[in-house]
Amino acid sequence: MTKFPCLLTLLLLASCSIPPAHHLLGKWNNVLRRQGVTYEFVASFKPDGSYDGVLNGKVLVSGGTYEEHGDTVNFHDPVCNISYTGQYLLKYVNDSVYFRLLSDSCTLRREGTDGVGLKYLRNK
Amino acid sequence: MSPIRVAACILVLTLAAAALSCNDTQTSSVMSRSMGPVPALGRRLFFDPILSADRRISCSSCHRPQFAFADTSAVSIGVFGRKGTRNAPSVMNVDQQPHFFWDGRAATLEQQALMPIANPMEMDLPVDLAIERLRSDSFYIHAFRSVFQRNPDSAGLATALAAFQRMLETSDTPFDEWKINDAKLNDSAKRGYALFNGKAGCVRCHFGTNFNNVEFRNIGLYDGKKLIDSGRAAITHDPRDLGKFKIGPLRNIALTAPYMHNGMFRSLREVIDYYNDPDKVVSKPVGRDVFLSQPLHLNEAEKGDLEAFLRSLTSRSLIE
Repeated sequence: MTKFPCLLTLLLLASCSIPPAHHLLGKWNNVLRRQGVTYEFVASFKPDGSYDGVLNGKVLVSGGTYEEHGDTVNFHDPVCNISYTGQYLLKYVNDSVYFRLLSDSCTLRREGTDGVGLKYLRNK
Repeated sequence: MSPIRVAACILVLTLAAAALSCNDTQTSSVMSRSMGPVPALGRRLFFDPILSADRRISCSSCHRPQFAFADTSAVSIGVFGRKGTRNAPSVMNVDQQPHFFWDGRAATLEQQALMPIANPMEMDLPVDLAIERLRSDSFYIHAFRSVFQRNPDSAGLATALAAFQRMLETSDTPFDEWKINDAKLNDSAKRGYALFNGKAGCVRCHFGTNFNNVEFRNIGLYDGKKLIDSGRAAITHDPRDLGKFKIGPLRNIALTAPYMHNGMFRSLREVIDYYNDPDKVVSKPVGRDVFLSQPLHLNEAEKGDLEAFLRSLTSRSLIE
């Protein structure tokens, strides 16, 4: 009899880290280690359509906006020019999302986004 | 020796030690981070005048901790009162920089670390002589053997100094706390950030974690007459690089006046005034970037907001 509440609790706890069904809202991260240094990138996609990116505790990109359309997302941010649109295909796998380039004339954003995967952190 | 004299000696030594550590206390929270033996040795070297020809100046003479490791003089004064030609930049937040010095002549922090020691206008001590000195100093012999398992050498010196500088990263700013944790930020700074990304267009060059990028730009401070520092071109020998300088990081910028490669602007407001209408300051620049071809038309309130945003990039560890 005591197993059921425990199982329920575990399921509830586990559900906290499961990303919402196929959308970007929330915080995601990507940790990589290069030449002995660990880099953690955290992306925050907010309900108002804005997003920020933080690298090792420092704001990397801010003031951007995103629009999801099914399995694609459009980005606008000041990295190159706020009016430039970056369009990427979204692929959700388990607790992660991967970005594939569709079109983006902003080289810096393209290099930092195409092929990148982010792991879901939480819905905040 | 009487007990009273012994007590007096101890008191004097204690007070002397406290006085010697005063320079560091202003950045104590930055400096007191857990530091391994390599950066700790680098810190000792950074503050030690043993690395200058006249044993009177150290790296910290021009990279002063209380000013975010920058200098307050337009151009720094080296050994024997020799006047340099460029403003000493902050050595904080340099970990991920791909170029060092205003003209980018060094590609790594390790390369950079030795250059001011040997530069005749700065510390004027050939690196070989610096190593000889360290090898004659019992503290450094012991320290290098302990840290690197060998006697002092140039590679160890460069490694230690670079490791110390890599410890000087800051992200505890009102701006970061606002963006990351939704902490409060004053409205003026928020408006300034919008201007930074919008009307003022600063973000076109100042972006990334330290608000610079990997490029060199000509912002119009070369005219071939009074402003004759050719900048990056002296390194690359490419005429297209004439008057170009490394884009400066903006973290802790409020503490690092004066500004630009030659320290010609005494305050943030002077910098903003310059960008607002460069022609008013330098009427016939050579090769100025097209980004600066038109005045920004910022009003006084907007200039104040932009300045408030720049001040929000100051590490709390430096203003406590």
